[in-house]
Amino acid sequence: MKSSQGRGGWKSFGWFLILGIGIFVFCSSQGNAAPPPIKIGVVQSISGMVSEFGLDDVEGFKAKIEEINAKGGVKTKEGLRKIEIIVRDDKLKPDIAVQNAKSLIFEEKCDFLVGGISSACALALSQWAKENKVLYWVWDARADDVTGSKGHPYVFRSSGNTWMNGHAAGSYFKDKPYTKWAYIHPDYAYGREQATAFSKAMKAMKPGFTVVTEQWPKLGTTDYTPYITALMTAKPEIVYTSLWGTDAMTFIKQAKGYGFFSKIKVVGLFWGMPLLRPMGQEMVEGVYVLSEAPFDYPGSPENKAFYDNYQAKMGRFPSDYSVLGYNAGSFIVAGIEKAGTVATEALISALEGISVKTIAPSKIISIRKCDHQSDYGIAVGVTVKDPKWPWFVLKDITTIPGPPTMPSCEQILAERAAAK
Amino acid sequence: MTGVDVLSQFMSGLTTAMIYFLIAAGLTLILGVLKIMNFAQGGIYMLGAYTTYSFVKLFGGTDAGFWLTLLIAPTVVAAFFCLLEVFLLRWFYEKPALYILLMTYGILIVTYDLARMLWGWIILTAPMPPMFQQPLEIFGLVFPLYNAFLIVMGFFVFSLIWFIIHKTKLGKTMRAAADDREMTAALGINVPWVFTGVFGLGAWIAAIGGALVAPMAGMAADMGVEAGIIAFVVVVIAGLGSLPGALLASFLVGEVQAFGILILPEFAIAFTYLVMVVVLIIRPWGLFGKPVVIK
Amino acid sequence: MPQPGEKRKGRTTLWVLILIILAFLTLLPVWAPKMWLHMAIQVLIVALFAMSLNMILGRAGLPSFGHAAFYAVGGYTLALFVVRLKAPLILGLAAAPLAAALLAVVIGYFSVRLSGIHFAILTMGFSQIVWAIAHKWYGLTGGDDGITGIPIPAAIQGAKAYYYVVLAVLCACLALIRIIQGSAFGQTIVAIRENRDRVTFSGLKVWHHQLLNFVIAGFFAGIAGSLLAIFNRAVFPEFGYWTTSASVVLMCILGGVGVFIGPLVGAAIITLLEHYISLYTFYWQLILGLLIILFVLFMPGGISGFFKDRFGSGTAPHR
Repeated sequence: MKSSQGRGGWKSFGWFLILGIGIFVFCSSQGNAAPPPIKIGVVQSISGMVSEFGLDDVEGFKAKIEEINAKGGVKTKEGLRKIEIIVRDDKLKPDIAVQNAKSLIFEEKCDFLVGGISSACALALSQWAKENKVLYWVWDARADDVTGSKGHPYVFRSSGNTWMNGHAAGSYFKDKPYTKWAYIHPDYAYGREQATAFSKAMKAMKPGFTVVTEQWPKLGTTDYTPYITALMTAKPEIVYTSLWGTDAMTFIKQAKGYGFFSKIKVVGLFWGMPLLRPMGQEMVEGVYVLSEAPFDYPGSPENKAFYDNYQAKMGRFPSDYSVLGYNAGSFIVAGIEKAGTVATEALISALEGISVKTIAPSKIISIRKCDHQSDYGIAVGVTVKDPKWPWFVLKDITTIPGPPTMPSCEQILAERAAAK
Repeated sequence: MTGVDVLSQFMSGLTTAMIYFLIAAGLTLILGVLKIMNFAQGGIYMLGAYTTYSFVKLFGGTDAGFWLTLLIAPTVVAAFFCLLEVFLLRWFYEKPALYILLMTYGILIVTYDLARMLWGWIILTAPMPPMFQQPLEIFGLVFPLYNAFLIVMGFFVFSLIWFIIHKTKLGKTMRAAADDREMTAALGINVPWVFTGVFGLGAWIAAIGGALVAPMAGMAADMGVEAGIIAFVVVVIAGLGSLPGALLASFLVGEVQAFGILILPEFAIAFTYLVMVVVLIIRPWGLFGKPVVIK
Repeated sequence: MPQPGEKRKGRTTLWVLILIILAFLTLLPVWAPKMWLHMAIQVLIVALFAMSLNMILGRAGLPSFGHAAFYAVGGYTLALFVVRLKAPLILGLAAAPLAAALLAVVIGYFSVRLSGIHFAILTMGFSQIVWAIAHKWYGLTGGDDGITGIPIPAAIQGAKAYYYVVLAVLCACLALIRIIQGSAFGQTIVAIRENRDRVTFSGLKVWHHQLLNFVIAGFFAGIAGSLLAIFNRAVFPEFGYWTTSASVVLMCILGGVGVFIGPLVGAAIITLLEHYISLYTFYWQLILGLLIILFVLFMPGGISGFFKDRFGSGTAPHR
């Protein structure tokens, strides 16, 4: 009995040894084959009035990252590394944005941060990123200060800013006959900056430019009728507005009731898919719209693939914001590949001056070295019905290239020096 | 600026006033009878709008469908909130006011995510019924037909509620329960159910406010936030529990805002708050509220 | 009724607990990971804010829904002094609570005349006006962008150093509040809450006392606001929005308004909950709302109220 047990014992030991060696070999080979994933922290405004836009930015970004991951990851010095994204909601509160940044960098050990649709949050986070030497990529927040007077080496922006938007609009409308303008903008920093940027551009480019009235409704206003009648009383030829989201929708629906659009022309800044899709046939024809990425299907093969995949995942086509997110992803991936690493200083150098081909509009867009601002252009079109789609699309699209609309490097450096 | 322009602005102010009234009336009713500040009122308004969207879509965006929706949607929402009142609020009327305030606040923030879960995170709008798509034109004044309808509905709701409160037995019971809860109960009246009825009525007014706004505005899960603040300002100015007060205060706020926008657009919003400050300082119980003892 | 021996035993247990908590808090920066340290600082600051509110809410029995106004004014005063006037930090720290107290005199003067729902509405109305000014007066307050980039002396730039500063300030303020509440003035406030008419008959001017109490509470809220501004290196209009006021009311109720440390407990729980819920879902409002509902239904006495009886500290009044 004893001897058979003893033999059984040695036999088991033998098997365990073989198994152990096998496991050891397997584990070490795994360790060699797969470098750890790159972690990107996304701080975005998800709850609150910007929900749809915030989510679109994120989903567009995710689409690009998933594309890269499907190919095995992004090429770095350590080999192919997959990208992992962690998304946090800043609830439109700048102090929460900073709290999220701390959590993502300190707790989750993310390599860098991406995000920003609310300028207040982006500015607060940018300040923190500067103090903590963390790379922060802004994809949608428009305040000039982000890459202007409050800019610094650690912050980049892939979307345009209000200065560029205003000057792009100016370069388009200087050739149109309208001189009597009226404004209706949401009463907060974004609205003010858009108004100021357009005024500056038009005063320089269009002789006879006047603003006969300015209206400043609060965000979330339910009833626009007093603003509409006040605008009509002032008798402008054309109205420039940066109203967005539900505000834009409410304004259009209520203005229609007054026959507004047959009497006064309207320029809607960023009146893209989140507005046109739910408006459906209720939208008005002949409205000027400025958009960074107007609806375009099928477009190029990459574009069609992006649209189809997005539709399959989200149940709706991507919007201008999804494209912004996707393009941000393109920049970042290109930067990582060029630097070969996500080490902050090396990545910053690689991103400066980098150019990528964006998915929509399909062109080359670069990051300027002096202020880390992209030279994203903007398209101007006019709304029109389209039998192919249940929503209105843009026709007569003119693309205004980015570079001439940007503030000069000298101006930026002067602003930053003055801010100190 | 012509006379027509001024009249036009006045009519706009009237539209605003009616929307504010619909949002605030329910709040002031609940405040007056149940003595609670219903933070969830903005959420009820929002759910009224979203439910209207769903029913209008269900009925294919037709005129008949719209009338049907106006009957059904606010009732559904009000019924839901009656249920909430029975299960969540009833226990707290006798307790310190703080608990019920917190409870309604909790319900409010739940409604935000409830809307997102049921209708998604995207912006929606109810299609305008075909019969309202042409504007009205009187003496050179262009006025949207839907706005006129809204104003008429506002007056109708006011009359309906006023009638219920002052001319029916139910209303008498409500007023009695508001004044003296114990005495009313002693008379054999089931006060908790009366309170549920009042809460349901207040919720119905907010829901129909949302329903009427749905075709003329975009809706998002937190459209109730701004509405709630407006309701609050109107109620502060009007005073607790006064329905005619709410109507007049809404009118005051609506017109002050409308003409502020016309004359000094930069400061239009400030005027509303200014009126609120003046009332708070001079008559803190509101223009039409019952004076309260001052120490 | 706790017997003398039991009461003493309860008292000793309480002091031991306090010492343990104090030791824990003092040693926290030694072992805690960076993020926890930052969260701890935030909790301590909000705890001071909640404690200041409870002077009005719990002790005086007045439901204030506008306490965030003093929080915001404290933060903005500090920011304006340090950023615009380029004054030294100490001056800003001194000015902040004074400015908040001044505002409290104005708001309190009109508010403490009333009680109950009227008091709630008035305080909420006034604080919304403060918020509107902060949001709208772009030139002074930076509007919704707020004031960012508040410069901090190098000595307190590190989280560890600032943690101790905040802990010291909190302890000092708590001691002060305890003394005030234990004084004749403090007892009068409680007496007014319990039986107002009796106090009036005794010849004391009720609303004088309540106004002073309101102003003191505003003073401490101003301190908390300035500490938050330093921590964030920024101040935003959200500090004064009505939801901030509602949030701190929730903290007091959650922790227990009848217990001295109740608001501290509530502040810790809510601050940590709000952060950690969002790590797992975008539907944080649903979770928080449900928690509030459940809590009000099942534990209206607050968490501390639940444990209060164990220590039998007779000074904590019943609501």
